[in-house]
Amino acid sequence: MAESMIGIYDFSYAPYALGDALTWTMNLNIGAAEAGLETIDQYLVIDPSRPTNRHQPFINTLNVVGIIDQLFPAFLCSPKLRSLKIIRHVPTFNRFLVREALRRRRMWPSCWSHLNRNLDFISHRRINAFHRKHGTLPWLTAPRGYDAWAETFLRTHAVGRVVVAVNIRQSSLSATPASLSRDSPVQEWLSFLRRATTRHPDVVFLVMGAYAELDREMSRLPNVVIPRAMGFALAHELALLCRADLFMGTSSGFAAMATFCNKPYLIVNVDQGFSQYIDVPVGERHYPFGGDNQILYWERETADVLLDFFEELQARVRHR
Amino acid sequence: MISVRRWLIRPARRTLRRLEWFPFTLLSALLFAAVRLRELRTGRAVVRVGRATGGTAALPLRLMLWLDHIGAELPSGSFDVCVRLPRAAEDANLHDVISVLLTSPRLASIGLYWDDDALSDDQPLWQNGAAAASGANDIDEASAEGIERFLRAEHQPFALPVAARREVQTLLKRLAGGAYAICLNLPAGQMALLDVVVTAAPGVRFFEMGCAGSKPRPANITALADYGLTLHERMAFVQAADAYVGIFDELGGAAIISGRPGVLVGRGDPVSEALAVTQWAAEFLGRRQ
Repeated sequence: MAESMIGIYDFSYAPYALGDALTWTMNLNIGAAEAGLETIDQYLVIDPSRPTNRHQPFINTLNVVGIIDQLFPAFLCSPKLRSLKIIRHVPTFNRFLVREALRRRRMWPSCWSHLNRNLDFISHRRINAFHRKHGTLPWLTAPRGYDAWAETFLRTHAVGRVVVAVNIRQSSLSATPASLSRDSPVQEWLSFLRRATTRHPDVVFLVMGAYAELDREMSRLPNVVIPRAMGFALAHELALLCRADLFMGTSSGFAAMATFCNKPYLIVNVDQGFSQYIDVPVGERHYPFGGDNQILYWERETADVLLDFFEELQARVRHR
Repeated sequence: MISVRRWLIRPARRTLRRLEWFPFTLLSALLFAAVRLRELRTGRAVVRVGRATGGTAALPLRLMLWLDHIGAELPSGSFDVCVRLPRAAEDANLHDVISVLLTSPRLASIGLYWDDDALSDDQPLWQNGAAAASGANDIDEASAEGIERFLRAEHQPFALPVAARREVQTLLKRLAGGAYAICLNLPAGQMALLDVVVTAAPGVRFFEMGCAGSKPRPANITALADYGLTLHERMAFVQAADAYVGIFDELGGAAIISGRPGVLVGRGDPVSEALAVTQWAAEFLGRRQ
């Protein structure tokens, strides 16, 4: 049987977070590409008696199923995905681990790192190194099984229009609030959307994010479509983001998806502490692997800033 | 054997879990792998393999039936499932597949495979011996016999996330108060049933689970389609409501497992179904007055 890359995401030391899950998947893609492997087998490990990790003490046996249910689509974004196991029985996982280690399979994290309960889930170290060496990256794709749906959806709701995926982070409104300093100023975004939809009626904005985080006023704006309010889920949003012309949003999980599926983007309010992990000096406009249409903005966004960047980017996107 | 587990293996596992650095993590991994090996050898590891090679459109419901059947077949203990999925399926419902699987309280681990070789390679580690290799269940279609069995069987309750149950129970209290609440999940082509059921059950609050459409609705009907509910929340809503009138999909399955009274429609002649709904509504309200 063909050798495959092994991915281990053990929630006892890795966070339940969209951006970290996507960065992990990207690192898996890179590991597979470096080794010339065509397939990836993923292991998501949850110890049901102790599902939490040191980053997220609010996760417990009562809420873990709901959280993994919501996050699951993030693990479907590798085009090389061959199998995905959700293992909730520690001996079962360790039997698989011993087999893979004896077969000397390539793993991310490595077996040694896993035994040290150490996963580099945030940095772009390997991603940047791969790009320096090869000049490209093995990009993520829409979650398995959702791409055709996204195409149909956009044909129905946005045919002939520029599609802009938007994420306005409002963790303070979620069931598990975290890092509120990274939340977006919602009034600035509303002001931006009001002006942009008036000035550019040929643009459709897809507002993404958990239903609880959505602002009611957005559903009244013309040219704004909210997939979650239509009954769709994270998997649909990630697929739509992959097919959008442009992404705008806070530095968060959706921004990671835009970054790793190579979309034109504006990522705002990038956390300065993130600089050391991504090897980008504070204030630098692009990731090392980012193009001219892939912009990092390190300050808190205002409506004027958003409109300026939007008009710059959408004009470029339109003329591609 | 029980005393060995109680006095040796369990304390060792508990201790090793707390010593989360090398070489204790290696010891822990080897001990757990040995425990699994023993489980495999003694036949305590049970896996069921399902194949959905034709398509995944109705897979959430089929998995619900399948899990229920496995639960009845295995009277106690936990089990694992592996599902072989078609690589080309584009039904955009894998998240619902996993949502359904996660509701089984006895299901430990889940393997999703898009490749036969990977599944064959892993099968001995899910379950030892002939049982694992004895073939997979076809979950492409639910047989009429399987559906009948599901409709009549006693079911093990599913375990929905606490947050989903809390969210919809609060929502239901706010929207319906003390009134009877009936979930409607009518087939797209039979919306005339809406008028039938609303006329037959006055004074009841109705909640439309499916696509609401553009037709104006009476004030006692609330369309939940644009409430952004997850599948777990919709299943919890069906479980929390007083009755269910609708099609036999994963919500219909949830209503049956939860023992909700109601009528399944969309499987026969619309006129007969309208009559059945009217009779059921009269009986339902009659019993409650």
